[in-house]
Amino acid sequence: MLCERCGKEEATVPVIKIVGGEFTVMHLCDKCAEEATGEGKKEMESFFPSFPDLFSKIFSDFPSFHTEFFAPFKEKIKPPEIEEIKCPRCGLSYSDFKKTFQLGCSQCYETFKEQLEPMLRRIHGSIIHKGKVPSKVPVKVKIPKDEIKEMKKKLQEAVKKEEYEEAAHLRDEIRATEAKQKKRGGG
Amino acid sequence: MRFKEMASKVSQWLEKSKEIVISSRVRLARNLTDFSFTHWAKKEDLAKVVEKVSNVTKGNSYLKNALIIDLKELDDIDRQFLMERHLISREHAQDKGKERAVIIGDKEIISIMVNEEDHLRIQVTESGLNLIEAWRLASKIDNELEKGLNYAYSEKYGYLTACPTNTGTGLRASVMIHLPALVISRQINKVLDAVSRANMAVRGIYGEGTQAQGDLFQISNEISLGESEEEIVEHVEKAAREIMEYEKRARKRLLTQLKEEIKDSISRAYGTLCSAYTISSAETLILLSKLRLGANIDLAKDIDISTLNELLILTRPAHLQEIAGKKLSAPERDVKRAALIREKLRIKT
Ligand SMILES: [Zn+2]
Ligand SMILES: [Zn+2]
Repeated sequence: MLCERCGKEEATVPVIKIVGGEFTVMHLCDKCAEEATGEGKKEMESFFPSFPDLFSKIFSDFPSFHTEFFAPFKEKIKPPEIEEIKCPRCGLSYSDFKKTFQLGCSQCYETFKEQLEPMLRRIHGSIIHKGKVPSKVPVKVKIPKDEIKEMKKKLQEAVKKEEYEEAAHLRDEIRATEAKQKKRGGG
Repeated sequence: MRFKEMASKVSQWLEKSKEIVISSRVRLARNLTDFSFTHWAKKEDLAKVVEKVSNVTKGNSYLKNALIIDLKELDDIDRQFLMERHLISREHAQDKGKERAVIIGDKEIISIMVNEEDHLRIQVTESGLNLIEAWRLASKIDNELEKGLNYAYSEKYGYLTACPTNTGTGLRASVMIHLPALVISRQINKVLDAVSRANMAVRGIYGEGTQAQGDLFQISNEISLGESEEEIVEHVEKAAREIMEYEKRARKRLLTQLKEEIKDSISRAYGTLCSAYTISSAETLILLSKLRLGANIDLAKDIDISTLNELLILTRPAHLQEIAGKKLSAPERDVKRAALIREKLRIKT
């Protein structure tokens, strides 16, 4: 698809614009993506002409989607490999997801787990649900005991590598998961 | 056009709302685990989702007399009409021809959008600041629906939604709040700034990308994962209460320091609304906001706030066209709008 801004170059990056606190996805070429932050600000100001510096204040410390949200996976795996991951159930690829910022089915959460968890943490500050539980949770969606084991292993690795921020996240998540399982009488 | 009757009145939650916080709304996002999410699903699967949800709705004790509306059967004005009443979102009103439905409960307190971004968007709206009640009712409806549907849910992440920004509780708790004194006194930026720092969003009354109109703002939570529904609701309520106090203080100050100017501005707004022969939608919102402020601070004692609430919605473009029973051009609407306002203000005052 062509860049939605200049209409000339091939769109390579989805840029999330935050308009009135909501996400809107635009598909842009590299060059336009770079310029998008500044322009986004101008557009938002035209929505609220009576409060010219409202958005610059509100969003001054807001992460831009394209740089912040996707940065960590680009470091870990080479981009072409991530783009090719496809959900076995619905066929959505990671590059499809990047285009719309929408997943394809419930299985996608498992398929893109490695990419999604850091993203969920950035958006919500957590990856462990704490609220309502439906009365008929199918057994297969309960968190398996192995998962906690795996999280603990990751925690040890993070400590070894002195990645303390990551370790703190993992520790909180293990605690939250264990508390939840205790409350429901085991996984 | 098929909503002529409905167009002559506003919903009860709006009519009786007299406070700074006009309404409270809770939205729950739910998906069926057996189907792809709306944007990725095949057309025939989306039709099945509509059918399944409609069937389950029929047995729901909170939705006994509910209207089940297939959006494919509506024209553009009808869909815009439902949006103006906050029964469907702007997104749900677009893209004619998709397999979409809306289920509207008694008194328009409950509405369920089917095949919006998520398969189900359960919405409950209450008058004034009452998010807790709205959440309780939404949850009860959800409990009954759940019995007949297989929700996409993970023990770890909670309710699974199409967009990761809604994962977890799938909850958005929002309040519609009228802040004219903070806007006039140029203190609104401070409020909005603080709100966003508390991980909350501010937008205009018709949702994403819309301008804050008539000094009306919508405040809602941004985070849906890692906090319980009760905690989220409590945070938004607390923020709304603080903003309300701040608005009250601004009103008091205006009344002590700028009483004549404010009184003049409100009287002029009343004069224009009562005598205009043609008036735009934007001007109407600005003037109604002033009049509402006047009624709240006893500078326009004769004005009935429920009439203002009514005018807020009935003067919107699709409502005017539904009432007229035909498509109207913008200049034609401006004339009809002015006539409707004159009529309503004269009868009630
Ligand atoms: Zn471009
Ligand atoms: Zn999938």
